[in-house]
Amino acid sequence: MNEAEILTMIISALMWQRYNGTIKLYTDNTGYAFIKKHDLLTLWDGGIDTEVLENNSYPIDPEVFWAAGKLLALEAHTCPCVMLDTDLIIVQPIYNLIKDSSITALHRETLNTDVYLSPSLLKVPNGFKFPDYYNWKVLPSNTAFLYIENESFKILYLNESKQFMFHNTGKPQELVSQMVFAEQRLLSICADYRGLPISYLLTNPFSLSNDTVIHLWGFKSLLRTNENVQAIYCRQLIKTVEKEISTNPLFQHYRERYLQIPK
Amino acid sequence: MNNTSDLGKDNTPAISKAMRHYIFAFVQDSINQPDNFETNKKWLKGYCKNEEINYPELESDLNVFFELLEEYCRKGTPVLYRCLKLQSQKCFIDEERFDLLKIIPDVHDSMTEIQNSSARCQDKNTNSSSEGSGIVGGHIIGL
Repeated sequence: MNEAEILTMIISALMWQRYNGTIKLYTDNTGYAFIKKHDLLTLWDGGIDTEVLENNSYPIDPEVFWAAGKLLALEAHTCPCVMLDTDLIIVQPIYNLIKDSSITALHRETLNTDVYLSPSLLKVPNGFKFPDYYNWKVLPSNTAFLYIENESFKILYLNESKQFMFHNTGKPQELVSQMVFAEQRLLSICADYRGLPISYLLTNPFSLSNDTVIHLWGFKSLLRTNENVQAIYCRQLIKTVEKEISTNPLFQHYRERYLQIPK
Repeated sequence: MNNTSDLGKDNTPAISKAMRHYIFAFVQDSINQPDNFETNKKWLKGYCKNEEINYPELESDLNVFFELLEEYCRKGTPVLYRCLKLQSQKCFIDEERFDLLKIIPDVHDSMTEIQNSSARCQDKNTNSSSEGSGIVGGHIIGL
């Protein structure tokens, strides 16, 4: 994680507490050591859990399913709950946006065939067959933000995902197709099967009418390779929350070390 | 926890067509004739005063635009191009006018990449795994 990513993670956690309530971090021992090294152990008011990921013995290949930890954390957490990526900041109270929905994700994704492979191209475990009731036409959902109201839906979704991920070690040619199927496409397929409509925080991720979400998304790779852009981003982000930094004790705690505008 | 937030509210002031036109001309001229920059800024300040637009804020947004432009010209990254486009809207330059700026990166290979990425933008821009998928809500933080 570079400075911009750490800054985003800090502001994400603080803004969630500011507008939406308690937040908890699920990580492993390596993540915990990183957080400790950066003096951020108290950032999440709901605490930090390492047991879920450290004690897990599921037969999941982390190289193929690099975001499976999110799904394990979701499994451990009781619904209703929101799963939030650390590179995503919610800048508004969202209760009114999710209160009438069973499932809310960040936005729809298009069925780009380079990323969302057809069933015949996906790598599957030995003896695995995709169920006939899967609707392959439904659009996947970006799960950088995911609200699930109902525990039984969560269990269905995670069971389907686990069946696909367990003992599935075939490496994809690119880094993402297996993971996004297990996490993002299966969510929409399971919701469709259950007849549950998915609501979205954003109809179009790049619409200027978005007043709720800041998501680094693919910008992370640019920040990692370009220090100038990183400085511009950090400066703009800190300026955005300047009022909170100067008035809110929650933010002030991190002011000196992390929330100074870079020159 | 508080249930109100000022962030994300549309605080964009309404400006006249003439002002929009001037800002576009200002940017265009600053790209083509960097020597005129300081003189043009004086004019811009005058326009802002007439239209009761916050000049320091606009100047700061334009500075970010030019910083991103410089980086884009050096690197030619598609994500940066999208950020630049987003930032231009914060500076009252709409998409149509932005395209008229015909910004081309110095790196030749990147141009091919941009063209390819533009051709596929409908699909690529809404995929989490896409190299072209940039920041979401960049306008909220002024990018």
